[in-house]
Amino acid sequence: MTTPEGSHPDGDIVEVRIPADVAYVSTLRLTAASLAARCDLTIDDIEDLRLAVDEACALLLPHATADSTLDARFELSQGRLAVETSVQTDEAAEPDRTGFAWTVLGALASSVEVHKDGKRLAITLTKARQAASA
Amino acid sequence: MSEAHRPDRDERAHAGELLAELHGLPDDSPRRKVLRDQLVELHMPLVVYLARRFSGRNEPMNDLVQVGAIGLIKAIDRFDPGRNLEFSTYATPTILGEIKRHFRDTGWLIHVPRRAQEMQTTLNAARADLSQELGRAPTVPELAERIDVDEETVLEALDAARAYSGVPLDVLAAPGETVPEHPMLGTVDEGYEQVEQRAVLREVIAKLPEAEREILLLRFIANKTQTEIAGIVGVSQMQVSRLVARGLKRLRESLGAPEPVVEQRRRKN
Repeated sequence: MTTPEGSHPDGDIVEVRIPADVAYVSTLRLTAASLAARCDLTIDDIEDLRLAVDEACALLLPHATADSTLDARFELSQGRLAVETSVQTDEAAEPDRTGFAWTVLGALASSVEVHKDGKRLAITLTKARQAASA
Repeated sequence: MSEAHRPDRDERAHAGELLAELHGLPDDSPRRKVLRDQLVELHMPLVVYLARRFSGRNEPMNDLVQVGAIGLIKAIDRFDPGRNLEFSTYATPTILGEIKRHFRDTGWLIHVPRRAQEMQTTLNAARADLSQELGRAPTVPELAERIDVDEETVLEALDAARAYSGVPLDVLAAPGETVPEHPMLGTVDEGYEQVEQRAVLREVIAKLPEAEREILLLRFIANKTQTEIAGIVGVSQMQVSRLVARGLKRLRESLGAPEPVVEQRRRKN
């Protein structure tokens, strides 16, 4: 199966910046789903991805400062979508790794990484296309 | 690292011990049921958390929790303690799988525009066919080609089907707010008559004294800590703790009791 325009998304970058407010998280979910479709992820992968993006945001938002944005950077490739979500924080913010959000994120994403860069806290998750089952 | 709101570490270690013991027992051991009930109780908050991710405002939350609980029971039975894997990580996809299947099987429970509803039927058929042919779930372009629509339409129909409103976390009641007015918390009370399927938990939840029910909802649906609940309801944290424990005991008894629906489903596995 080919992509509609015959173009490969490899290496394409999409960036979305929204207010660090839960009301806008649905926009990120939709963007993620739309881009995942371009990467040829399966619809099951896309469902997982949407929930995973939700969880990543849920982990970040409590740490966002009042004037922070929630930035998302999507890196597209054939069969794989990487999503880096980040917020501006005060010192020493860490996502809560003991709650359900972290568990669910880990179970649904193909990989999860946490980065801290000064006052920026980022969670990068990837979703790779599922292999055909036997 | 922020401190845990709940004693997860202890709970996980406890779950690990229970699972190890469960899977070491012979199939006919009466102890299996006891252990399984404890494991179900221990992980019901995870089921509720996941079910909540799928609940639109008019969605019968109890149905989602019920099918999620079936996924949990399957995960408990299938888990291999020999593999070095956290049970909750193992159980999450299984629980989600049951919830997703429930949506697929009973798409009409969600109110979606008629056009999207009709598309849904076509989409489901194509999805099933393609899954069979490909040995995996289809991609959006594959589905679009099969039913001869564009990809946006497929995405839109998928959206409509899932009704992924994603629960707005901020409306889950700041301390002091009038919690029962919240539309999501309200569904538990209003949903009973709409549901065709017999819900295992519904009856028990309905029978709970109001104080217990409210506190369980705050704890597991609004995901509040006991301390936060104490602040909202205006009782001591110890009181909350006692009410949660009592409510859970009733839920556990209901899941463990020889309730026809549950037993039938279990036997299939």
